[in-house]
Amino acid sequence: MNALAGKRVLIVEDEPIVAMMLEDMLLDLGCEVVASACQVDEALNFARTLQFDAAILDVNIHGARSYPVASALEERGLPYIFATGYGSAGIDARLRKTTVLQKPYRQAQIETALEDLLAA
Amino acid sequence: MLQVNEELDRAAPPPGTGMLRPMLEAALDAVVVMRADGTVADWNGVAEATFGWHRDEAIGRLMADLIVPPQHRSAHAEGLRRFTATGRGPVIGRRIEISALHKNGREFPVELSISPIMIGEAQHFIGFLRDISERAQSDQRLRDSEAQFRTMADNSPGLIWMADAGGAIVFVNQRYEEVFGYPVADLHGTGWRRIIHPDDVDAFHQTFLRTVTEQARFRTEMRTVTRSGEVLWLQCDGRPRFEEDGSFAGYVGVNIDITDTKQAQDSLRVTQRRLDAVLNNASVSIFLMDDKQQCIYMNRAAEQLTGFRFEETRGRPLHDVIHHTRPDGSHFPLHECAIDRAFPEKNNTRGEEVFVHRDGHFYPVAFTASPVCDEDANTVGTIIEVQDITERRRAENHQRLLIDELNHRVKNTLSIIQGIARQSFKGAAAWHEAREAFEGRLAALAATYNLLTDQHWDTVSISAVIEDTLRPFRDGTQRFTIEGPDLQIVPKTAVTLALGLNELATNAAKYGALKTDEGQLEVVWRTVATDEGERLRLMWRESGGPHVEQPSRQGFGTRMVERALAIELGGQVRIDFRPEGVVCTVDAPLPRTGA
Repeated sequence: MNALAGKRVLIVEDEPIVAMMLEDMLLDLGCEVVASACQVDEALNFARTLQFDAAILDVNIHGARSYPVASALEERGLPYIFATGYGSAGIDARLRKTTVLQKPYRQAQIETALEDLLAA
Repeated sequence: MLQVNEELDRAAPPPGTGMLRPMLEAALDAVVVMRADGTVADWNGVAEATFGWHRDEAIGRLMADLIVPPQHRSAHAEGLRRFTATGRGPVIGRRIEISALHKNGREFPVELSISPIMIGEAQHFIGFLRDISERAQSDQRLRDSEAQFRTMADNSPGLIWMADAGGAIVFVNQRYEEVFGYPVADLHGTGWRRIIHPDDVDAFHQTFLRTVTEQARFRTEMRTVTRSGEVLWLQCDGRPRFEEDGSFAGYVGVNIDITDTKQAQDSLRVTQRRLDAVLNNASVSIFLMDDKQQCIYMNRAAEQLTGFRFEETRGRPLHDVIHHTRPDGSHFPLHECAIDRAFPEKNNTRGEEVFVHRDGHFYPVAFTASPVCDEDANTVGTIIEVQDITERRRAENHQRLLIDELNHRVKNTLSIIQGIARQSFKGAAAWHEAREAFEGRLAALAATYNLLTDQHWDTVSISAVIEDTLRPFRDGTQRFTIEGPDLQIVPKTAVTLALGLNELATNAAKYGALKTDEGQLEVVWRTVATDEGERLRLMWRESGGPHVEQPSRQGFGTRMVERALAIELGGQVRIDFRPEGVVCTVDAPLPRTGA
């Protein structure tokens, strides 16, 4: 039935209310949220150690870029998408092939993006 | 008497003349000895050659019959008679020029001097005669040549003059009179001073006299004034002249009227000075290149911009001096350069490029390259205006950063509002729909902000606003028609339009044409010229969807469209819930594009 049912997702988002909303959306889609990080260090730790199927990364984490987290995920071959308030032009050129969701995003957009990501 | 003399002559040489013979024969001139009665007593060899009569033929005959032309004979006879009577005569003891007669009848000029002489007791006359035909001819030639010179000089378009060794003018040609209005004679000596401009005359005269003492060539430009007051500039060229013996004789010179040239030069100089002032005070850098794309001019701003002095770029292709390398360090060939294409393509070319400074650093510039054409419209060069845009770029980047940051914060805030709403309306199923509508509106707002951010919050294309707002509602099937001219609208109008279109689209997705696969949506607009100025007419028309019913109450969507959008556009907006599909029409003044 649902392609996303039971998929384990890591959230990296420094804004608690937005993180909570994203958790709700993922839960509504049948996913399991393995962890929600609001610091780059914490996110890096999770990215290297936890077991999950995909990650959703806010680009700007308290003024720092979450690119190191993206690199750690790439090393493990784990797929991820960016969510950002910057336009896609705000993403480092090297990472522009990554799917970028514009904030504010809707549940349907998360669903489509995750489905495409996991199908690839 | 006559007979006695004849006898005497024929018998023997006259007494006393014997001692003269050797002298007669040694003389260079023709020598004729005549008795008082007018007969020839002796005749030397030169006389034989000069007059054609042999001595033997001549002696004893009347000299007048032999060598005096018939028209002068009576005067000759009269002179002889008068001398005999008075002892005086007009020709005695003087050198005169007179015509003589040759045996063959030819008359020719001779120089003659006659002296009375006593031989024994008898009065004689001795005449020395010299054929001066050649001298007379050369005198005539000289007169002819002088007349020729005058004719030539007086008819010359040049002003010809001659000065003596003291610097006094001894000749000016007729042309002076024509040009200056004074009789030629008035200009002789120092009379010429009257034609020199009063401010210049003393200095000029001194210079001339100094040159005369140096016997040097005299070349100068002189300001002259005609009798009627017209100022003429002359180019004067005088050369020293010398006699045959090498002594200095003065000057001969030619003056040419150069007033027109002078005036053209003056006006050119003024223009040049003005142009230099403009170019060198311009803040924009200006380069001029010839038809070989080589630099032939740079203004001061261009020197400051590039770090090169004009002398260093002169005659070189400008590209090779200031544009030879790309910022990535690779070689930039001339034929790929947009600036240089202005010449071959004969068009104005504008754009932005990165130049290399003399010290090696790169700097961004905006340029305009325009071809320079000659009278026949052939391109003969390129004029290039260049402006350093480093500061502008820096300001643009700064603005870009600020806008990006603002956009980021706005959208984070929208996300937070979305999160708050989601938390607030959690659980109750009835609120699910409201939350969806709310998130849709936030999304429409955010999409428009993205668009505006991309355009630096300047104006934005109405097509882009419509496309971006409707994008979430498109599902890949081709049932959208979005068509109209590409108008620019201000950010506030863009936001209101996006929110209005979002309401219409949400409604269509729930109840109208976008609910079914067969439904069609058409959004078309155009501008119309009316009495009140240009107006925007936009139409939203759904078709092929489910049967439409008039809603029982006016919701937010309808109010958003019919009121908020109408107020924002300052026009009328009307929604018709027609059974075959919703139609919304906008009729408003053309949206302002200024801020």
